[in-house]
Amino acid sequence: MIIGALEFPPIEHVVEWPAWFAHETMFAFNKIAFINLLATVLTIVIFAVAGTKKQLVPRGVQNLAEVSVQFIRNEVIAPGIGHGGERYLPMLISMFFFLLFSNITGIIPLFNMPATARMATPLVLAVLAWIWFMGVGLKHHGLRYITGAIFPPGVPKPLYLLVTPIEFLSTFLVRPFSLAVRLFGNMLAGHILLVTFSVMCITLWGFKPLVAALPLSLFMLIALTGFEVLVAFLQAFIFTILTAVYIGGALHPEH
Amino acid sequence: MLVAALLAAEEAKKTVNPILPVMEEIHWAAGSFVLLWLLMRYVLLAPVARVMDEREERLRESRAEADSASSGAEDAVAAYKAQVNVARAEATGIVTAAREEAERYRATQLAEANAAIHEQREQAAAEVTAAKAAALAQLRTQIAGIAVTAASRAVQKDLVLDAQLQVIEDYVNGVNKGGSR
Repeated sequence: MIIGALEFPPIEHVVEWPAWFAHETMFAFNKIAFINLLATVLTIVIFAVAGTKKQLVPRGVQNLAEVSVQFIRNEVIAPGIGHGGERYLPMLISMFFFLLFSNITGIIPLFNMPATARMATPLVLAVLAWIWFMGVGLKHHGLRYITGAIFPPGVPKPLYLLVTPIEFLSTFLVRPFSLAVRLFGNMLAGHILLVTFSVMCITLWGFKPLVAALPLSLFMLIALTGFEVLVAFLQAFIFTILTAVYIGGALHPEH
Repeated sequence: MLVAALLAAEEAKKTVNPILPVMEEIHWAAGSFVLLWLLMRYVLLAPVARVMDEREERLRESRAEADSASSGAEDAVAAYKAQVNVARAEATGIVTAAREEAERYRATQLAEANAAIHEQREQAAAEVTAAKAAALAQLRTQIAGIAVTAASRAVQKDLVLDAQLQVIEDYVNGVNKGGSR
């Protein structure tokens, strides 16, 4: 797409990545798959190394792992699930690190692409979160979990005609959809913004009449890169804590 | 027309929708995450959590020990203060007793000194009285001697000193008797 002197790449060039191997198969391996795998490997390495260290005062990787565990316990599980939430720590900490590393690659040179700016990763995690909180609700409360959710107590009976479909949609359908779309939209928007200002910098560098505007574009590019660090962490945290809140709602529906 | 429609459909197939998920990426994302979750659940998290729990337990024990030591120190301070109070009371008693003893000693010594002074004073008075009597006797003898000598010269005759002295003595005694009347 060409706007004035700027030539923006088509959107598929910004988000589509060709397969590196296993072309035309259901396991075609591209950059997104590589980032997902890298996120898994990095998290495994961090916790595997941290698990071998038993220093009284943790440092380095051990400190990172312990601070992360403490963070998920205190800032995600305690407010989101409460009593009985410790058993969900492995799932939530895996989710947080997997998303953080999948997000942060958007600002790392040579990657320059968050895996979560493609719908697959957010969708997979959102569906898993949905399966998880539905499973927790059904395991602990049986079908009363569903009936309690769509027929909230204290509502006048005629209003159930209105409330029940809304509760059903919002609790069982919208939740995974909103989880996935929120993460995907934020990361794709950030990625497109970085691409935009990168293209603008390149164009202004080559277009002498407007080269004076280059510092502004460069400043925006640097500022947005810093902002994307915050977004990467924040979106991972939001996704994880919302999952915890949904699990907590399924575990203690009376609250 | 049909060919154009087929070509358009083929073109639409090639056009990527950036919103829709791709099945291959779903497989890799799901596989990667499930692998991570399983490893985290059964292998990775336990050692880290165990170290944290052990540290927490050690901190709890150390805190309990510190609290116990602090309580012991407070007890020791209380015992020390009690001992200080007892010692202070004992010291006060000792000082009071010593002061009373010193007062008693002072009074005894003062009484003894006063008695000794009084005795010495009486002894000195007796000595003065005796010396005065001896001096008077001596003076009387000398005066009598002088008077006898003077009388011997006046009468141109030797007088017996002892007889004259007896006369003088009797006279003096008679004067004293007369004077006392």
